[in-house]
Amino acid sequence: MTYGRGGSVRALSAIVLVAGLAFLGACSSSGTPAGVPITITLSASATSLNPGQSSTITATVVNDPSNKGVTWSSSPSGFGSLSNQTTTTVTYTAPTSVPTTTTVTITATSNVSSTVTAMIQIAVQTSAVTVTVSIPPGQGPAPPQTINQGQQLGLSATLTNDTSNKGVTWSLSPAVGTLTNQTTTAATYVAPGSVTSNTAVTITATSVASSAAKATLEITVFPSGAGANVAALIVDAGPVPAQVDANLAFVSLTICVPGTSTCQTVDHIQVDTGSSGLRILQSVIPGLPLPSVVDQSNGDILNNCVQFLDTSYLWGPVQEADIKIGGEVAGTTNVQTVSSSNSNIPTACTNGGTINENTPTLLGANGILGVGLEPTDCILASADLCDGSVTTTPPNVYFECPTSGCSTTDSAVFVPASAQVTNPVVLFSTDNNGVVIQFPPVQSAAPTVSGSLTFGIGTESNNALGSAIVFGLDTNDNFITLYNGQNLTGSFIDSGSNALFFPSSLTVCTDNTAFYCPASLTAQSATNEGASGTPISLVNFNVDNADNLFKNNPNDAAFGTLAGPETCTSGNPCSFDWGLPFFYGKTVFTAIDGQPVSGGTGPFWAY
Amino acid sequence: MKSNSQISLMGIVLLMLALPLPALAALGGDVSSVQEDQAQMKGTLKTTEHTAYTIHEIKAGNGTVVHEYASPAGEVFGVSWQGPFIPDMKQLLGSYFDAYSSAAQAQRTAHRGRAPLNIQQPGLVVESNGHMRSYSGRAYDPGKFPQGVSANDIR
Repeated sequence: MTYGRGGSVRALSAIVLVAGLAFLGACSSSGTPAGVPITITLSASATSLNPGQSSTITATVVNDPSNKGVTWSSSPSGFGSLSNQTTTTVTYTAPTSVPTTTTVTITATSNVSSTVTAMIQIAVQTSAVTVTVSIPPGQGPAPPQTINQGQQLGLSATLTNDTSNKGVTWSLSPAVGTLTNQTTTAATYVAPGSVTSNTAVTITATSVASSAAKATLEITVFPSGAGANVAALIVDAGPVPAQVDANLAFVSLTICVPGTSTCQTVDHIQVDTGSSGLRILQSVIPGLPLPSVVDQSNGDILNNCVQFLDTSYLWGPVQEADIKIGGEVAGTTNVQTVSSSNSNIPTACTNGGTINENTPTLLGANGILGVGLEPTDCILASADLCDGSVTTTPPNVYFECPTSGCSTTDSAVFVPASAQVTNPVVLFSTDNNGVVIQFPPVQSAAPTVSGSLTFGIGTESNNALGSAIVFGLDTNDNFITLYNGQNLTGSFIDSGSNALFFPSSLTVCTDNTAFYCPASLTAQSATNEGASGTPISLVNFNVDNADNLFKNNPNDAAFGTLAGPETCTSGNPCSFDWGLPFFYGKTVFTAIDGQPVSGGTGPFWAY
Repeated sequence: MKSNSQISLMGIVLLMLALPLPALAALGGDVSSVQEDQAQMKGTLKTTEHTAYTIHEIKAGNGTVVHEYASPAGEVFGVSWQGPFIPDMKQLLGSYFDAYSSAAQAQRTAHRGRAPLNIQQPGLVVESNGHMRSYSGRAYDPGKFPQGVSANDIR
């Protein structure tokens, strides 16, 4: 690969791929000694570029006593650009879009003699192929995608920079069901006629032209009996690329302006049985014109505040929406829309904190669906703490603000239950007395886990209590856990906690200090009791080293053996917080306060 | 499409003229501020004398109970709370608030998911947990414990 005339080639180094030499004959000029050849040697900082990248080419010119150097050109012309040109260097920048791999020749021509040239070749690689897989519009909701056994689902693949239109090949893992009607851009997934439990399959579309380019879609197949009251749950890395949270269970739901078809589907809403009411980030439903709840006596807008112990909070207006989850609809439901703005939030809400968790990055989710024990976010054991009936001071939960906005000095107000943020489940026309969460076992770590959120308890064939043990609660919505000689009377089950948190002598991690780090997997057991002391049920569980779990499984989101410390002092109502790992491998019922359930009334937990 | 809610807010009681939250004595503050608060908190304050300290129990109007532990010298060295709402932490922790706030935010940022709060610093311990409408926790400065007092006393 050398070009030149009248001379030999010298390789200056390994990166000198092309050298040009010239012999200047009789036609000397510009002070070049007649008969002494000018030689040009080229080197490049890179000889293989991706689209948009640059390479600096340097010319070493020998026998050029006036240092006139070279003039640069490139071929094919118009493919990329030359910049920063001097008589000895130039920068070549490849185009940002490259349909096919192209070899560019950079030519240096002596400014002493145009017959003396040297060339170097640079390979510009084609633009990377990308693949996305989607459900054609109208054929299904956003992921996590679910279908019933025996059903089928059309899939399409979209590619970019696939210049030869080679498309994709399809694959299915595990081999549950089949992929039919396969083309290079489409396929149909046919679920098996019968599955015995919720079964997750992953469909992968791989670019033929570039096997590194692939896309996946996860589908959960429900067994028979799954009906309109089931929504798919998924534990995955969450809504923010490159931010992997641990043990957050997500659902997709559709939120609509009440009574209209003006809707938006939002994925990655965290399912939390430890709170009540839907809280959705305004930033993920931009432009959806939900009406605000206003005080009709003065036109003021009602705002809602959720305070967290870590000084962060959720602040935003109470708005009305129709909420569609699975096949259920909660009409005209009060939700909290978490404001994108951080200004003029009452200090009674911020409580000294500064962070309104109003982005997916901050919250780790696009919203929180509270499907807990209470019908609103301010009722506890049938007592409404926000309507003035049992409290003499309004808690810092509801604030009225004029349409011009709140001020930092605004104080909280009492509101009736009808204006409070409402657990959507109680507004379903049926299946409205609680929820059932089911997950397969997670032994250690997994990138994703699929489960189900079933509405209603004992209302359909798929949500019967069966042989589940029912645990009654105290007036703080807690029950009792006996662990290692401790009587933990403030214990609770909470899908919104991402680990099991309890007071123990287990070693606390050095890196992730919210978790335990025993030297190796450690077997533990505890006994759950109803608040009255019965029934009782032994729970066996394992605790692994969280630092190692996170370090060794950086892309995993589901951890079955994650636990962490909770402090406890005798005299305090100490807690065992049974977070999401408790749900793995179980069917857990959460019955809502005051709602009749066959054989009793909520609130209770059962599993 | 409705532009306004049809929900009647007639039940809403505007609190512009209502009671302010009782001002609590802050961690590290002087016990005299508790005594000054006594007037505001009439009927909600209960004081219990112990050998090594005095407990001031304040039941806030929102249902949350706060305990303040004062030394014989009159300094608040620990606080605890239990109830449906998180207390006013800025007021409760006083000059310790900034240390609490930065440590709490660091824990939130560093950890995957939301964990019970556990701040263990030489001059400040804050431990708190619970779920919506049921919280408990405590904060203390171990360096300010009177003789014979340990962390187990802060309940």
